[in-house]
Amino acid sequence: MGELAIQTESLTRSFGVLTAVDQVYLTVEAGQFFGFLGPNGAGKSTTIKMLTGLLQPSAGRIRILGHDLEREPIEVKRRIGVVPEGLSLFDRLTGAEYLNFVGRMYGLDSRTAGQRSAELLDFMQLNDRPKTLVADFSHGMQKKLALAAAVIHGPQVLFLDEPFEGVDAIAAGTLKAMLNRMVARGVTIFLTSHVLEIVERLCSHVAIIHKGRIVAQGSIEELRAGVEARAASAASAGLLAEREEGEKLTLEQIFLEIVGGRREAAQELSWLA
Amino acid sequence: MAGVALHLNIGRQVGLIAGLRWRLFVNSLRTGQAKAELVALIVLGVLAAVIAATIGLALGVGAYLMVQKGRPQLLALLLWGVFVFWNLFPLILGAFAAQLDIRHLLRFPLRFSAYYLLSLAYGLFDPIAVASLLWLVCMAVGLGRANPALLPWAVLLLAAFAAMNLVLNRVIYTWLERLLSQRSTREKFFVVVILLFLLPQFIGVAVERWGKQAAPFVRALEPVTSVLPPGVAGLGLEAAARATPDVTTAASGVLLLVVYAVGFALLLRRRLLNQYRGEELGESEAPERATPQALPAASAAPFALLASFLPGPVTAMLRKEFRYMTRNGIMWINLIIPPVMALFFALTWNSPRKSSSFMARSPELLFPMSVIYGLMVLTPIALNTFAYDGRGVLTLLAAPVRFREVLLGKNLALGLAIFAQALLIWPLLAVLVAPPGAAAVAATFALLLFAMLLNFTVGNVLSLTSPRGFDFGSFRQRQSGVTILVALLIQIVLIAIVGGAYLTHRFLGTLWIAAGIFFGLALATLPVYSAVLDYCSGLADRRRETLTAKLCK
Repeated sequence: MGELAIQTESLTRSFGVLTAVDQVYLTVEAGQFFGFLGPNGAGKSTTIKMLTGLLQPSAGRIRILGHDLEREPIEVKRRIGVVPEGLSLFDRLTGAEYLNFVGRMYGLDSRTAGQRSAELLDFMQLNDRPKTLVADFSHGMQKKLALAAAVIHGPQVLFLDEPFEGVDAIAAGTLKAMLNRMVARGVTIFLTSHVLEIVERLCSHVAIIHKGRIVAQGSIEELRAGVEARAASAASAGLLAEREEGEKLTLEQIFLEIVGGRREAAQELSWLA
Repeated sequence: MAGVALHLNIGRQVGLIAGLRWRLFVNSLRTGQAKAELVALIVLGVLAAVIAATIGLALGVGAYLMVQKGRPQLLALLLWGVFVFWNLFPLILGAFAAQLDIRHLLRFPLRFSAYYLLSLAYGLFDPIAVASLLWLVCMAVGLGRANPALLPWAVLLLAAFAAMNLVLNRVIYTWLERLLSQRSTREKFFVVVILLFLLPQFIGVAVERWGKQAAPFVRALEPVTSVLPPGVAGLGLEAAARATPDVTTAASGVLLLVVYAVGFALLLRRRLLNQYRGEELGESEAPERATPQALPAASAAPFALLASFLPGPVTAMLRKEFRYMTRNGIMWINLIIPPVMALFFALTWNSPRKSSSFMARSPELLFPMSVIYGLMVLTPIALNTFAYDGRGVLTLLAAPVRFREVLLGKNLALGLAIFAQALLIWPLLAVLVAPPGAAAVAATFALLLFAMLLNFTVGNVLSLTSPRGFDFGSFRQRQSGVTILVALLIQIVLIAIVGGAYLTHRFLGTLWIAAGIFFGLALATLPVYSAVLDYCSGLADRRRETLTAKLCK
């Protein structure tokens, strides 16, 4: 096993009587493109908030690049980039002003922050309205700006909560290429997305959280092998029968099999034509 | 598809929407707080009804007396009052509160005629319209009692006047809605309305100084006002109230009011038709591709000096705060009001009737008073310092900085703004009254320093323990109860200290002692402020969920 970028032990978070994240053990190696999946309300965003220091765990430990998050929060935050759920922008700044601000907050000197801001705005195709406030950006533009802000300081681990939501196809292609290049240079990316095709195409490893617990973790191949082995048993034989001979199970099929979300094909609404 | 082609008549559609409103109302009462608010609303409603009825009675009696005493030409004044209240009051409310939006009903297969009727119905059942209608009824009763022969004309003229107002009100509202749909316009409009609120404070001074010179200009406006709806209705009533009624003038009045109503109805139709056809009033710009432009050069010059001895994150916060200040209408108002009030104090001091005023007896206190006024306006911002950061607070929580630096940057920005304001007030008073004495200036700046440190010390803790998110361009926003209470306590402490200083000044005849006391207090507060900044770094970490929950809504 290589150097660990993310490691959690018994990570738990409760909100009153509800345990949103329950004893999660995660290990993500440095340089992995890691997908974190789960149905709505499974605990994905809560986990990512805890991993980035935005939410205090009720119990458990988090280590990022060998640093304990609770003891060395500043050291950890210096090394990570975050695009949280719902974004985190100062909407009364222009794109350039916001990126400059974030760069300075992450310790870049004024000149470097300015240079990187200009490069990022150009790369993200956000440089056509230099005087427009973030408040007047479309959702997709805000998403791109949040991504630009998350990488301005050159993080070693990047946390992305639904990064492609609301981003057009052209921008999504640019972003995917950028993320792949970052991974090739050794950056670890921890990503949540509901679009399983994107996760399947980008990620080498995934973990699936369901009702606050990790129910599967490993490379996509390992998960596929596990599901196929299980499907070979009588209980899930239908899954293997559905696919063509020699065809691999998709991540969607694997996911549905693991979280038990398959719907009976015959179920339909009688009044719909 | 079966069942899609359902055709509902207008009455059924309107009925369905009334049912929807009722269901929304019932569902909104599920929480205890909502029920308590309903009770408060009922109490306020009864109070408003009593006030409206009292005004209605006054208008009825006024109309009665005007006809009885043979001065029906004054009836137009009453109608102007109703006209302004009916049409301009909602304009002010529009700046402050989210209005009911019926455009969301357009997703349903609603006919345009039903949509038009609904718009008018919303206008008719508005409390302001109900009160205005009540007042017109009261006037009609008063006129009828004064002269029964006048009643048919009064009913005709006032009904036409009411119909015109109803339609005009909807026209104003729908155009206002379009105007305020853009963020920047909404915020500018809000600033203008707030400034209009300040105007009455100057009316007394202005009338006293320039009242006589302005009278001919006011009289010159008469021909214009007589062709506007209240003037037309007033002239019609005046003509009908004569011993031998001037039927032609009265009938022309009714006709002209109907023409006004039809004209406004056509304007309303045009506006509503645009809405009906799917007009987009979105906040963001159209997603057209523009030519990439060079980024504006960062204006680093004013910050270069500060950046040389402040840590990078503090400078970044300082710069961000200044940018937020210049892009916040409410902040502009807060910055403008104190110099405006200083102007007001100076005008009052210069007033011919000043001899008995407090200011006339203590002119050396004019500068401290004006600055303290500014301080009282601006320091509450420090008690909820993240109010306008919204979701941006997540950037601060995710960044590798201690909140000591964040708060220091914020405090420095506000402190510099307060200091700059005091510097602006100084020449204003120096020109209008007399340059403040050295002792007054020293005492004022020492007090300013102490008051700022005290407010920042307490405010930094409160901002983390009781944060409240505010929207730009919106008025009905309250600090948390704890913040309001603490702000009150701070002001009481400050007033007590300032009062003590004033007494020493009265008895000893010098402000230098007060300056010394304030400076000493500021020096004593400084280490406490620094210690609290450190404490806030840990506090922010512990309170991050509260910050996120309250500011990222």
